[in-house]
Amino acid sequence: MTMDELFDTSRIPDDPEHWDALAARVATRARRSRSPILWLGEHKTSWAAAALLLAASMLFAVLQQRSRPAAPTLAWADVLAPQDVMGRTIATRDQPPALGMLIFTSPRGSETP
Amino acid sequence: MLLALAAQHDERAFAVLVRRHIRSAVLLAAQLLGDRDDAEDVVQDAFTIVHERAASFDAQRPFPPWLFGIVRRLAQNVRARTARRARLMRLWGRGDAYEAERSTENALLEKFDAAVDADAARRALGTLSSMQRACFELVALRDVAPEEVAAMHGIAESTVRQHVFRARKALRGALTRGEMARRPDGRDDDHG
Repeated sequence: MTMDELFDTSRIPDDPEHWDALAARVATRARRSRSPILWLGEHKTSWAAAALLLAASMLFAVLQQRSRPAAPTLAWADVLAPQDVMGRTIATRDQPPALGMLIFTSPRGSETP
Repeated sequence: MLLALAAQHDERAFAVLVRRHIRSAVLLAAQLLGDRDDAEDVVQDAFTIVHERAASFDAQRPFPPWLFGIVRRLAQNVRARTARRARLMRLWGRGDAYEAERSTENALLEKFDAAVDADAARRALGTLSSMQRACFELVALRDVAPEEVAAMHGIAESTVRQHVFRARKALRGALTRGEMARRPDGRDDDHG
């Protein structure tokens, strides 16, 4: 492959110090920019380390899930629910109130008949 | 040998390999791109690829053509990107400013100004093809071996020598004509 237009290189410095410095910089950057996946592929121990790290992170995630406190919305519902029995029953329970409770509960107070 | 060691994560061998070939790689990239920063970026990317794929390279084959092939491909990508950008700039009406920014003056002639009629040399260089100028510059001015230049540009060594020969001949002719033109009587001192 050749390109039709070629430029002169007179602006490129040509002393050994320049090439030494550039070579050192290029070699260092080439080493640093090595892909982590390639690095994993070349070291057997790195696979074990990566697997261990993955297992630890999964365990951590599971433990976090278990120790998580009750959902904040439930706590707020408990605080903000009305004080009377009927109101609390409707606001805080998952199930609808019993029919008997709806019939026999005093409409004003929180006490049952 | 060095590449085989570099493939086995011998970083010192890789550093030596880079130092050995970086000059030719940068000069090639500069000839293809016309910009020092772009050239160094391309060479950086090329050596990063070499570092990553060293293990997959056939150690029986010569290393320079592989490296220079990578440099040429990367430079071609950069040129395509630059051309696209230039087209966009032209569409936005900023083409002239962009071209002026990108253009590099032919400082090669400065090397001849002291001894040669610059206009004659410019005319002579103008008659050469781009590849003839490039080969002449690398071999005659940068002292790069013709076989290295052949590997750099992906052409035969005999072609490089032919380009350099023609460039030298053209410049020699221009120099002689320039010298003759500068003398008031148009005569050569050696002969009269």
